[in-house]
Amino acid sequence: MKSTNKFLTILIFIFLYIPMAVLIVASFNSGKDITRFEGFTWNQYAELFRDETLLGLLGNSILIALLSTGISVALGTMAAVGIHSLKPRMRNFVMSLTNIPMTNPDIVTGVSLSLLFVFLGSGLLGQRESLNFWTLLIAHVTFGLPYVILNVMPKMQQMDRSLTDAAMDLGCTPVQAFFKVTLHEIMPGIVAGGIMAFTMSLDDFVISYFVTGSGFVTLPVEIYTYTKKPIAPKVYAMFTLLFLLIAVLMVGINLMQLRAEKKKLDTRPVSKGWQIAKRCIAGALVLALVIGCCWLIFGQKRDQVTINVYNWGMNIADGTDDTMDIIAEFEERTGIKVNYSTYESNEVLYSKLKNGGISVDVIIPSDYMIDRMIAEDMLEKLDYSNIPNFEFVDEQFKNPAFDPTQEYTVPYTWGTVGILYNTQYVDEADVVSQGWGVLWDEDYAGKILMIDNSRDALGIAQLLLGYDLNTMDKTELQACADKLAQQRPLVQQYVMDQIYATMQNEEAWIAPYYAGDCMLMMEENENLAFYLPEDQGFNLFTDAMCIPKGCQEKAAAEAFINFLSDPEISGANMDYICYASPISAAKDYMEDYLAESEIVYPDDEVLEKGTAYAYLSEDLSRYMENLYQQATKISDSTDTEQAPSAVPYIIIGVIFVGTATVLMFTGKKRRPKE
Amino acid sequence: MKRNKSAYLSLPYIIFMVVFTLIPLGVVAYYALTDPATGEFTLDNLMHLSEFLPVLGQSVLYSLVSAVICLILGYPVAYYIAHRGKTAQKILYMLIMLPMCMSFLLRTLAWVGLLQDTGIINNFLDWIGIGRLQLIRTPAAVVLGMVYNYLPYMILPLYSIIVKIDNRLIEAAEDLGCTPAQTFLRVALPLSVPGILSGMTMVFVPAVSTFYISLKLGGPDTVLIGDIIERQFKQANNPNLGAALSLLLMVLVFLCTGLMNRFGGDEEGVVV
Amino acid sequence: MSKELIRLRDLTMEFDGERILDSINLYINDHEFLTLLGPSGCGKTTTLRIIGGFLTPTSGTVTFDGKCINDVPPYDRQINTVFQRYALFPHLNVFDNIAFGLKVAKCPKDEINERVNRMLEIVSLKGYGHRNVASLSGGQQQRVAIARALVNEPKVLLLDEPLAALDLRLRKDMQNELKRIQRETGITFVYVTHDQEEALSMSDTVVVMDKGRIQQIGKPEDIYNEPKNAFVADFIGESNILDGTMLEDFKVKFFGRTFVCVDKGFAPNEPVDVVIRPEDIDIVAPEEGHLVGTVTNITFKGLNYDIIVEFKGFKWLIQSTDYCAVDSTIGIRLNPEDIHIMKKSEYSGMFGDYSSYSAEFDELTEDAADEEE
Repeated sequence: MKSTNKFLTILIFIFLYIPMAVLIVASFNSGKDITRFEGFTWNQYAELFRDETLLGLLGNSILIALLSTGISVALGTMAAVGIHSLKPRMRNFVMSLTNIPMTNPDIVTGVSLSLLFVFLGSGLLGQRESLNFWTLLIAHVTFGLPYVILNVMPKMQQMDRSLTDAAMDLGCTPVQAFFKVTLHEIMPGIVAGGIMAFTMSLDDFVISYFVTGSGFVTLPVEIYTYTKKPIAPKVYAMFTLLFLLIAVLMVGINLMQLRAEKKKLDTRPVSKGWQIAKRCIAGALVLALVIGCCWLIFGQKRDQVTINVYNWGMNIADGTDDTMDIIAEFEERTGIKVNYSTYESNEVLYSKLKNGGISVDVIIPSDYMIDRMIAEDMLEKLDYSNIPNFEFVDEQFKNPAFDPTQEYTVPYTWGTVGILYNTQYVDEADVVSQGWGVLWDEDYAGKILMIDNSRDALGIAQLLLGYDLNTMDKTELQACADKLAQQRPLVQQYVMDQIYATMQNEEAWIAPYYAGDCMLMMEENENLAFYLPEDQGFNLFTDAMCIPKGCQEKAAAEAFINFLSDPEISGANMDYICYASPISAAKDYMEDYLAESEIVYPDDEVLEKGTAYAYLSEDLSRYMENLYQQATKISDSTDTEQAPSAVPYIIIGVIFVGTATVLMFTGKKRRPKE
Repeated sequence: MKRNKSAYLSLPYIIFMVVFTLIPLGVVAYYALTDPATGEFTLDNLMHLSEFLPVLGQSVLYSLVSAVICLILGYPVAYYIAHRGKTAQKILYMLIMLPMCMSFLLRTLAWVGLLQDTGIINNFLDWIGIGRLQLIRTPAAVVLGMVYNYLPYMILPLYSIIVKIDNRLIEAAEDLGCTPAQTFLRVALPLSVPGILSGMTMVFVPAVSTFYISLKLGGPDTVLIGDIIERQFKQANNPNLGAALSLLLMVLVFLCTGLMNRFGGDEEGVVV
Repeated sequence: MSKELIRLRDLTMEFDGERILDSINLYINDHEFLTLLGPSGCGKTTTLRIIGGFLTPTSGTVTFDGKCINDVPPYDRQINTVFQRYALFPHLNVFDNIAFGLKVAKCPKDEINERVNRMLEIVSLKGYGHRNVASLSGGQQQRVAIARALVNEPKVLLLDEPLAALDLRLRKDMQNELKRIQRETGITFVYVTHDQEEALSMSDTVVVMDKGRIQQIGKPEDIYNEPKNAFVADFIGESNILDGTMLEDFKVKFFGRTFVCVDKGFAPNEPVDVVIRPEDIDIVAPEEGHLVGTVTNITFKGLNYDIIVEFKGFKWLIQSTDYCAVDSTIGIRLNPEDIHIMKKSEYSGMFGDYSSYSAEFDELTEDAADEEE
């Protein structure tokens, strides 16, 4: 029995550490793919230390963790002392309050806090940005506090109450007694609680994910965005370093505890050096906190203009692969600082703007979404005198359907939605002959990716069924949804940015996506090819730069838009993102293969067959979203597996009935605690 | 009299917790009961919930299975650790804690690298001639992800309970003629029930509400309630439905933990 | 005697409607060793905590040197306490524990050193200054606790069952030690205990308390010899308590016989409690005795035998150095000074009957009482 346990324990440890080993090995991999080791290198570490954004995010995480831990510890210790002398009934109430964040699923805590902040901030106080640094801090304090309380309370209870009496008897005021005696007694609890609050805060993703606005982002939340795209190996390097750091910290703490235990029974005098070291550590922590606060309050250069830019993922040249680092270039030329973050789809952007309580200055939505935003009065009118480069925009892109009066937008890119497939596994003939239908081809079951937003997904079904892309007929839409439901068993994943990783490492073989992104992926993997089903029709989209209502630095935002409309810059940008620029002059600055590519710049006769999305109505948007979710997310009762689908109902039933009976028939036995 | 004065120290905390835990739940309820477009009172969102019951059922099923697997795997480990020497205990405990401190997003991503069709395991299987297997995007992969991520949450409370079991009780049982198996079933196991319950809760609650694990390791058929909630907020722009779903999830979780607490007496969930 | 230092006037204390102290009136003189004695829950510790300032009485006043100190917090009182379980600060070593009060009072460093070292000498812990308090034995911790309180040179030292946690031998030594320290320093000691022997051997004045009320105040000898009621008689030493009638001064009737006694001042034919101490009873041959009874039980106690004798269905405890066989018939004689008469009280009939006497049982209950504290 014992040897079995030992064997199992070893296996479990291997199980727990294998993924971490994979990540650590990946940090020394000269290749990008985690599954293939191509050679040893230290480069990822060098890259990491050159990457200010990543280090900045880590800094943000540490700052939030330190501050929230500090506040939790102060508030929690105070509370623990207070709770201790509350009347029993009140104490029970407070303890159940403490248990709410502990028992509530993180996602519910995150959702409830974000709703509260948006409700209070945007709804009642009319704030422009209801999710910001402070709300994030509050959220972290909320889930950190219970850890402190639950660790300090037992120490409080264990403490001999006459110790404080003794201190007061010897001349201490209650406050002095607390600092000279009680604090020392409950210190182990405070430290344990503080460490837990700190690690929880440092690694928190779920709650932060819901309460993060646009301005202040922590590392885990950004890593979430990273994990959707092909992840830069320097992230693995960071993981490895953090792993080492935390391991060293843990060993240190354990050694300290062992030392303290030994010291208790030691008859020798306590070494002064150790005490001084302890003071130094405490002092350093406090100093770090103070500096952090100061940095927050005074450090952000007030005089420097900062704009928040919110763009599609992988939609701006960032300096990698010998392209121009557009943002750095802009910052250098104008002295305006840019906070850059990304979204995955028009719907995500809309949700964020509508509910997320974020404040952004420049956004780059697509045609139909711009239509909707204008209709809902979400956009500022532009001052075109600040955007002289607008003159370079081709005539055919001026006064587009979504902005007929040309008051709100400057086009950024345009492109088509087509089919990306892997020539190694997918027969070109199948693609050409079936067009969009190849996404329903059972030969490729499990290897098909589908685009994960309602408009594009339903659009593909519309094209396949021969409906108009802007149909408002609900029966037609229902038919499209049925078509998507049919496709579901064949689909590997519904993805947006994640398509990059999956297509490039050949995990999936076929997917509909935006032409520019497809070009990017084709550069990475030469087996990939692009097909535009001209005959069935396709979506032709334009992404345009706009300024949302509530923008605080309109002039700077317009300067940014103007900068991106400079033909030279636009050309350099397109080199990276592989889309077509609405500025023909930019072609001169683009690499030839792109400027001449038919994928990027299809012939005019091909373009004729494309259709742009138009905004339909809010009601219809919602209707389409529901249809899409029903078809793709929720198990259909018409599924082949009918037997297993009954099991969940039975389980839920049993749980509810069981709970109800137990709650009804057993009064909770409360042992008197004293 | 003096004591009552120090009770005021807890006031800031109580206010903080009421404002940031109790009231938000009220706001969730408010959203759940209002129409997304008009903001008027409606029961529509709650009516819609029935559509999501299969997803909820699936989430409960997966997380219960995960919790049970965690228990089966975690108990021997906790038992083993609890019966080591002091220093070995500390080291092993630390080794269990360590993964919990690292980014769970990246660790889950590593599993994707291991399990995917073109992943490390399949490459290996292919190389030794077995051929590639469908590992990822199966319910088993999702359960594996849950077990992997939440196993420490099972082991730690179990360990803290088992380590407190008085060894003399084990000896007494042996003295009274129990075989090792009987000793375990009749003495050690019943005494570790509080740890088992708290471990089950600590695995079940995060597992039932996860959305990242199923997103990465699951396929279209393994959508969980967490995914749906996330989607309402982040993409579908329907916070009202999202709030209703959160409310449903919360009720489920509170019922489950309430149930466990009933069985477990008022032994508080072991934190460290 | 010396001047009055502390006076408690009509002190009443209620917790959640429950009356813990019921109009306590007491004065404590300077340089006095006063003991509050009573069973657990009698209110003695509460009284001590009120004097120490840790509790505020519901009503009544505490005066110190003639000034009311009800509202003076503990840290402003010239009173120090030795706590039940010492309450030594675990994070400080012996020296720092003792120096704690002086440091709070911001004494100069040299003075602290000097005074703490002198204190260490007084409590015979010289050279232990740097030791961690957890590494000390119970007796040593006790001495540190006393030193920590005394170093502040308080006017009054409150001691809350300071010896309860020590074993018997150590307790005896510490009793002598405490008495010596009290004599040497001349500080007023207010001492709380439930151990009557401790109270009698150490105190100048004993205050017997029960149910939140003072039952008797007096010198140890008076308390023992002249208990005011059945409770005091039973609590202080062993007593046989009988129903009797005071026929007239110096004449009491019980068991159908009239005895000569030394008490007076009762109404004629007043019903009274008669106390006879077991060690005062002389065993004689049956024919010579005032009363004749049968031995039902005998236990060897070291110094003497505990003999249970049945007289007309009522069992007495007699302590004697003579051995009497079980079932033998013996006679007893009572001298007038052995008979003590008390007025009837609420405690009458509750104590002093040895019908259910059992040596083991007695010990068991005593232990239980100890643990309760």
